[in-house]
Amino acid sequence: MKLQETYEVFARQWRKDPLQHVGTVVAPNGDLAAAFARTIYNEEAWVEMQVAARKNFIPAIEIREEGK
Amino acid sequence: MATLSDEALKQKIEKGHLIETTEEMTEGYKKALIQILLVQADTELMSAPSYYMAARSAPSMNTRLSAYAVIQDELGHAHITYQLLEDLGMDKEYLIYGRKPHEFKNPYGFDQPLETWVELVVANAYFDRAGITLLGDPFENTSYGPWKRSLVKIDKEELFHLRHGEVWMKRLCEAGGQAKEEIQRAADWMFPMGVEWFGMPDHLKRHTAQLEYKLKGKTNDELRQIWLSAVVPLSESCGIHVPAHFDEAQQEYVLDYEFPVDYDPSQKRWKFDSPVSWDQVFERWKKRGPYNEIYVKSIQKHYKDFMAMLNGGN
Repeated sequence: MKLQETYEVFARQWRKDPLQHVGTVVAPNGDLAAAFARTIYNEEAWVEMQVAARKNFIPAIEIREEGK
Repeated sequence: MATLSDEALKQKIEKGHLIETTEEMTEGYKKALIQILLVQADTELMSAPSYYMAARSAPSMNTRLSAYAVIQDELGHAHITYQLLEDLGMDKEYLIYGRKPHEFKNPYGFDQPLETWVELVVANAYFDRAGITLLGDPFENTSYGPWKRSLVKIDKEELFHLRHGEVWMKRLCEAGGQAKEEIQRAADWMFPMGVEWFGMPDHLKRHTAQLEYKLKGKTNDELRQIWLSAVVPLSESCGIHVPAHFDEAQQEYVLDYEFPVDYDPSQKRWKFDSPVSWDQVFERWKKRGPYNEIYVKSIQKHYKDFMAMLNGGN
């Protein structure tokens, strides 16, 4: 059984910017995922950072060829 | 797995197509990708205990903090890269905690003891420069999208490690006397270690799967030249002698010794008068350096006990 889950990490450096994917963490719960994200992805002074469990992502468009 | 043939995939990649998922890969692509990522992940991870060994002799609170910040970055980079491997179907826990020391793919340089803070300074200047050179290439050229994006943060932080090394190297050399002598002693074994880091010359090994799948874009010799073109002028500007120079006629950096040569890890001494074959170098790498086991064990030793404790002593 897998006790750990994968979380995607999003952040932005300026208020004018959109949130951007900056990486991934694996953690047993959301609180720890947020803590790991703050310490691992500390390369900028972010104004916002969010984590979301990968399993909650619903592909509205599956990855496809560009320009189609 | 991909419905494309290997040839069709290579053609698509050649046109600049980025691979995003395992479904788009051929077996050959995936195998080559795992191989190159494992080298990166293991190198980032094993730099941590080696830098930590040196950081313990940092001369002040500030220098110690800088050293620990570098180590934290390296562990973060390792984490990110093992995560990429996990997304390719590998088991991260096993890769870090389950493998035997000799199964780690880090370069021979990180099997060596870093015994002083001065050696850490030179490692940041020479080895992290090798890291930036080797990772700057896929950052620019790789066909694997997730890897390319993960290198934004890594590239930024490796630059900080490099500045740390270069600034202190210059400062210690300006001080002269014993400080400069210690830098020279470190450079004497660490410079040729950096030269060897980039592997076999192109005339012995040109076409690799990694280049054909555009996992990276530059050959071993091209990367070695980029490294030399940074490290030789840096060393010269510090008054540190390294056995290489820029050759005007060839318009490239050349080594002042026959490459490769034998190395005595117990003395940290290169035997410049004993040229060896690449088979002998591979044999030395395979035998591993003196701190391979010590470093791997330092990372693995508390894991099993901790997991048992966390799972209620089972």
